[in-house]
Amino acid sequence: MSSHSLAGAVRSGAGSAPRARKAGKGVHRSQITGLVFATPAIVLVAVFVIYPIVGTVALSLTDWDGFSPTRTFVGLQNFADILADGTFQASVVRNLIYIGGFFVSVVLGFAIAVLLWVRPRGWVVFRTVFLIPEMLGPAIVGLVWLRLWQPANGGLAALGDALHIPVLASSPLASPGGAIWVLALTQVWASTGFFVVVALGGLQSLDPSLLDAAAVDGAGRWQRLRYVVIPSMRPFLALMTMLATIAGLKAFDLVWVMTQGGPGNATQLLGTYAYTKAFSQSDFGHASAIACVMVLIALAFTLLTGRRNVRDS
Amino acid sequence: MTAEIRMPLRRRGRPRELSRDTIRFAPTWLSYGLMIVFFLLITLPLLWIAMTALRSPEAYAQNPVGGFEWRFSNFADAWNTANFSSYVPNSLIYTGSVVVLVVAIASAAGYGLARFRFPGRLAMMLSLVVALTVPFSSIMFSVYDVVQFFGLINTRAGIVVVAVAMTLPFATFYMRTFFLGIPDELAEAARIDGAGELTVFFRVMLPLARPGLATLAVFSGVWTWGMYIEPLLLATSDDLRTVSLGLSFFTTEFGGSNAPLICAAIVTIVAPLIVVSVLLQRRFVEGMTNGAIK
Amino acid sequence: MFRPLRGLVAAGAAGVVLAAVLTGCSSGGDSGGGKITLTYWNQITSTDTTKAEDAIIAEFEKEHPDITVKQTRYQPQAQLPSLAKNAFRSGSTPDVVYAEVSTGRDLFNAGLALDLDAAAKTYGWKDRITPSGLAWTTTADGKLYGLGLESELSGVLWNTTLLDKLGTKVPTTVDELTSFCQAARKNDLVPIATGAGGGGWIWYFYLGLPIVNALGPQAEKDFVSHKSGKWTDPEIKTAVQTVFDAAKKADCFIPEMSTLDNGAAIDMLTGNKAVALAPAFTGNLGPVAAADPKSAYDFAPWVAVPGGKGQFNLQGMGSAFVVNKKSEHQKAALEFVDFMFQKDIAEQYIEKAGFLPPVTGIDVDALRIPDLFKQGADILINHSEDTGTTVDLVSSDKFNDLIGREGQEVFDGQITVDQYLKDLQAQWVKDKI
Repeated sequence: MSSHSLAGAVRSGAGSAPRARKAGKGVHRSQITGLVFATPAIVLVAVFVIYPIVGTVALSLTDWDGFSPTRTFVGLQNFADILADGTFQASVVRNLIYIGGFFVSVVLGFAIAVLLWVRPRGWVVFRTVFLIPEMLGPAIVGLVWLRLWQPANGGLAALGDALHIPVLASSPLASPGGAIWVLALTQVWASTGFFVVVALGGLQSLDPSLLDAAAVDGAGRWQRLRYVVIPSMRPFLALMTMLATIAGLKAFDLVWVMTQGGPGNATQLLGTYAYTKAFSQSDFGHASAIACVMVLIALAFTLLTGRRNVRDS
Repeated sequence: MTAEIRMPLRRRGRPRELSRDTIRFAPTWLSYGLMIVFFLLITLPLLWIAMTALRSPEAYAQNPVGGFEWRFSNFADAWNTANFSSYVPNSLIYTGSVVVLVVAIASAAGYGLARFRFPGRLAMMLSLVVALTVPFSSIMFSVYDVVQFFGLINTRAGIVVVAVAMTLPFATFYMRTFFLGIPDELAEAARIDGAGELTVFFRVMLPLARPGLATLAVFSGVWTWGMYIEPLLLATSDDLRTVSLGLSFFTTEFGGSNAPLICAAIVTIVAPLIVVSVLLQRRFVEGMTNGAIK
Repeated sequence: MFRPLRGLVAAGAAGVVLAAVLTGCSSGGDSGGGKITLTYWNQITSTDTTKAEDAIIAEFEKEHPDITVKQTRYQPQAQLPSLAKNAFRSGSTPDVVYAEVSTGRDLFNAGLALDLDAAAKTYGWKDRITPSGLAWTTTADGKLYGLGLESELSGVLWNTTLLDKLGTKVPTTVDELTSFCQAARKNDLVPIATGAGGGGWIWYFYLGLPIVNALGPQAEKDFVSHKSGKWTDPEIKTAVQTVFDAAKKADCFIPEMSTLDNGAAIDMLTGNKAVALAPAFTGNLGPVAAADPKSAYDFAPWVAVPGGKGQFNLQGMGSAFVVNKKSEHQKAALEFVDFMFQKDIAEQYIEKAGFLPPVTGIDVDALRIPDLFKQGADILINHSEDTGTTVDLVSSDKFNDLIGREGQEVFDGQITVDQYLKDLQAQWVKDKI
């Protein structure tokens, strides 16, 4: 689906989600049974997702414009073109900034989860409210914040005028230098609550005796956090980081709703740039090549972090 | 081959209560202070939208942040402009169908992939990982051709089947991790008692995975509610569209600057989501902390 | 404990049944009594125009009881072009689209849109539609591929009441513009409101308005139709530079330039926060006059360019009807298109939707429209030889995306005007081939 938010990222993340036990154990029944259970899902995914992906790879080797009956095979030319394209290179850098916004969410989310851990009075209210942005999904979050950041007549511009805060009054969403940071900040708003919940789940699985022992040994708050909680939470932090990275790489809806990659190309990420190439410029060859690069990066990342985390544990 | 992360196992039953002091990392006032700041950061923008939704465009143009009115006609106007009355039933139908199909298909597949080893299993897992990472917009014309091949363009079935297929990779992995966390001994015991594989699945495993099913239902429901590109692409007529598509009509080439009207439309879509999230937040949270991350 | 789940499941099950039932109903298509369902996609989304159009379509259905029009609306730039192209590529629906002229031409060049020459003869379009109206949708080798409904004039709309207060007249030279902008800023007014919500289309006019002043209408038409000149020519650069100078040196525009919502820019004008709106269109004149009845307005071209030929408006065409070559209902589709260009229907479009269909023999003075609108309509209908052509109509969607994105980058100081014009020229040459 198109609008895949942070929880959408869990979808990605779940691909590499932890397993409780080795797959080999207890797997000794009729092999065909498993195949039968898996078949409906696999068939649907193969027909409606994998086959079109193969089609996209094929398109990346052509110069198709999206509608003409003719398309010419151009080999790897599209890949050479995008690698040499300044806008593509800049999009990679901006995508890294955007992923940075997700990382801020991870850190903030973890910090808030640590504070919520003692379940202070009313903590359920906080947790519920923090999850609202995730429930809205990135497209609607984008619409909400577009009203706020709207140049000249948006809520924040007016607030900036009234309170004499030049940064807000000058409509940073409309400035090529500021726009990507505004988007990253909006993403922090959108995703922090999700990581609060993920981190809380992790904290609840922590072995309490470790902390008690540390407390008995006279470790202060900071030391307990630094030497007990954070090391024990490492697998969770790794998972959150991976979810953040994949979601950041795939990011599209929020950015598209708010700026369509503009002003100019100032907020093009890989996803929006591929979309612009395909649909505004009728250039499916290059768009497909960018999509292929995105899938390759995400795959490589998933496999690498998966490996490393297995080694770590 | 697929990435695996080993997590500390959550113990069965309730974890021993930690002494509250051991896990208190900031003074209470500071915790509350930070919580409240964050609470306001989340709620104030939404409140501002709700407030703006009730104002007249003229008053908004004078001062976007101050002032308050009760102009409920904005909601009626937004409802009509966005054609919500014909789109809401569609969104409900898609959401209902996708939730049921995804939960049914993904739980079967998740179980199959978690508990059995069969030829092609690795290839299937790998395809699912690839399917997870690809953005829909890059493959959508190819998807269109497939849907057309099956004669499903401009049908509800076509839209639902694509939405299901796009949700399945996540849903399958999600349910798989859930089944991995259920001790195998229960299934073995049932088999020894002579239960067939279907009985084991429906009578033993599925009930144990119920929290996961609930969370998956909520997730996929929320996503389908917000679905935008699929119906836009796959329907050639207006009567198959969704509420999210209705929202897009507030951006027009000339005009469409009526901020209160846009806000009213946003509130119309967002309010049910917030209600659902408050009602179902425990499901959502439990499944997320129990299932995917266990 | 699992009640929410059970509820969801029940709702879902009901949904599946309903979906199955409704799918059965909706896929029927043309059934019973030879009644034809004409699928029509359009990109008209503003409320007033939508209402006017719905009434016109109802009238069409009344006159053609055998045809039902099933219309679906799309967002202009964001949705319709790519989706229409995809649909034409792969099948027989929609039968008719109302899309950008450039989209129509792309479709025709790909062999997907119907050649309308035969229909033009049958229906006598050459007599009923103005030559300049037909020219928009005619290829270089004389093939008609569509019919445009919204001829429009673009220029700058001035609030002369505010100008009087500032003690100035409508500026006609670069120097007058500069001193006007200073005067406006001193009085806490925005000199010229502008905005497209980030849409690239606005740049056709930022560039086109000074270029027509530099070259004169005829030479400008030759230029945009690839007959003469290059984007890198010095007179083009001088012309384009006047816009960037007005923005950067004279501080005439809002700092957000094109990223402000277009409607918000219009609001700045009618709310008397800004003195002028650029670019403004004949379609804006009626609504602006209605929203701000207390002020007097004047619709003028961009200021004269150094070494240029004078001051001229640009003429353009909003969108055009294009018929799917694979349509199974071509006859009905052509009837539908023809209906839109009947004189009485055209008058309805002018009065209710603010469109100006290029239909001959319309007495603008007799119509119930604001005087400001009449002023623009008069130039368009009676003096169209004095106007230039909007560039996007004769270029590809790809060129039109480039002109917007890179234009914004020049404004933002990321690339130079020279680089911009060089890139435009490169794409321009590719388009011609």
